[in-house]
Amino acid sequence: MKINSIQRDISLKQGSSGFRSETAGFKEKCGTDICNTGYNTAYCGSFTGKSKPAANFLDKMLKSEWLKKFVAYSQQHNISTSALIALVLAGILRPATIMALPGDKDKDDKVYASGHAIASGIIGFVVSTIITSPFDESIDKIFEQGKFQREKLKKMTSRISELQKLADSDTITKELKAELKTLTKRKEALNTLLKNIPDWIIAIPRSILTIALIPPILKYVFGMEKKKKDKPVEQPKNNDNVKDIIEKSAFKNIMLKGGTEEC
Amino acid sequence: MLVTPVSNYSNCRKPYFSGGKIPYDSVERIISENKKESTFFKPFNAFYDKVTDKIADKFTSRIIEWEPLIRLADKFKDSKNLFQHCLTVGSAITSGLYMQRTYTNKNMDRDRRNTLVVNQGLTFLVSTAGAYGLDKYVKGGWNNITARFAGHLINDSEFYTNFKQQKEKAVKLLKEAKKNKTKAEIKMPNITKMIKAHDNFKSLKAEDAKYTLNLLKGMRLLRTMIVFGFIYRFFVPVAVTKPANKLCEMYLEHKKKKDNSKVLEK
Repeated sequence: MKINSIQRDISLKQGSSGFRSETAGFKEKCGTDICNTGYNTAYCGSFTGKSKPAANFLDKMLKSEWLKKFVAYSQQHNISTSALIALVLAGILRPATIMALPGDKDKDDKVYASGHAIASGIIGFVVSTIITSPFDESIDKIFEQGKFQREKLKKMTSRISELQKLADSDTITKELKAELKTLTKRKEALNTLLKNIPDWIIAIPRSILTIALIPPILKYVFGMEKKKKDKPVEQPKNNDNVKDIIEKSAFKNIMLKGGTEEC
Repeated sequence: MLVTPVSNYSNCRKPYFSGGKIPYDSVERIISENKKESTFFKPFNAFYDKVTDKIADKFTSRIIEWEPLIRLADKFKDSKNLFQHCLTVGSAITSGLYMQRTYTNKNMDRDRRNTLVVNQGLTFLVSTAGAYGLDKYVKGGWNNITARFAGHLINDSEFYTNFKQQKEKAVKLLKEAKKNKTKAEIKMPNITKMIKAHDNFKSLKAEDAKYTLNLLKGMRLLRTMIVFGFIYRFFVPVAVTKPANKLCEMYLEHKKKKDNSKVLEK
């Protein structure tokens, strides 16, 4: 076989070798910036704000567009976001913890419990989102966009905007300021209640649906089925016959050699 | 292989930058036009919009006018924990349903049923108290994160530092007041108030200002959702249910022994 220079050059992409020429100059080249990589022992740790890379990571996350969208979504869809968080906790964190807990005896139970948690998380999220999202949207249209407002809310909104104008122009009296505060708080409470009361209404049907749907989901999606616990074997009243059988040499042979030898 | 001038990449026309101005406006316009609405989802979005309009008009707007709801809102308008109460009620209904199912389960004997119902009820009460406590405990740390977030929203890198300074000052004054046993009205800095008073916020359009305030509200709600979700959906099933069930079994065994000894005595 002809070996050319490329095949022989082990310094190309094959890890450490004696041919590395840059090791001596590495510290001089990168030494000043090495702390900023986040792998330095002085800088790894929690998000206390004291750790520079951690704070940078947090800032990057807080600046991100997806977080803004998620926060806006959670403000608009309270129940759905709660269910989403429950899905993450019950569908990922809980199974991981259950499986990580010690005890090999009841492994099947653990797998079943994990599947149960995942299924209930998924059902909870899907049902909550499907039922409450259109309702949340309608609340948003009424409160944020000012559409479809009826008598009482219209009155409340117009009074708030009237008082707000006075507050902006610094011509508001103390009493009117208190009224503005009360009305704003009342509207806010009304909004919160409206967004969350559907959760109370759907709680029972959702739970019944979850209980009903978990076994088929476990069976057909995850391929799991709850094993029925074995009933304790009834002891025969007279043990003498059993003793006789055990003491017979032929039975002993079956017990010891796994029943391969002929009696 | 014959290399013709067409297949030879060296002869291809390469993009180049002449040094002139990049037409950012037209680029943004093209991006925003493409972002607007996908044609695939357009009919679905239109239908969804119509449905939500109908719900708002025929259902939600009428419920808002419902007097008991307005009275309820009036009663809880000053509550700082209204959202927490809402989550608790939802959880209480679910726990109540499971308790009722346990109580009416005919496969269990009466003692076991009663003990399990009490067990479930106590677990719910203890976990709810824990959820409220944890929510209050993480509030300070979460406020710091919200202040950072708010700073990014109004493009002020110093906002978080100012918030922290004001907070430290307030904590110091509170400690001093506690030490001297004097009553002083010291308030912790409020992010929403600080944002509203900020020049960058004032220069925002009305729509953007509303969006910013909604995001701050969303951050507050998110904290409670995470805390209550953690307690109800993770901590209770993993750490509380098993020990509670073991205690329940121990109690039932103890009761059984006691009953047996009573029967023997008779």
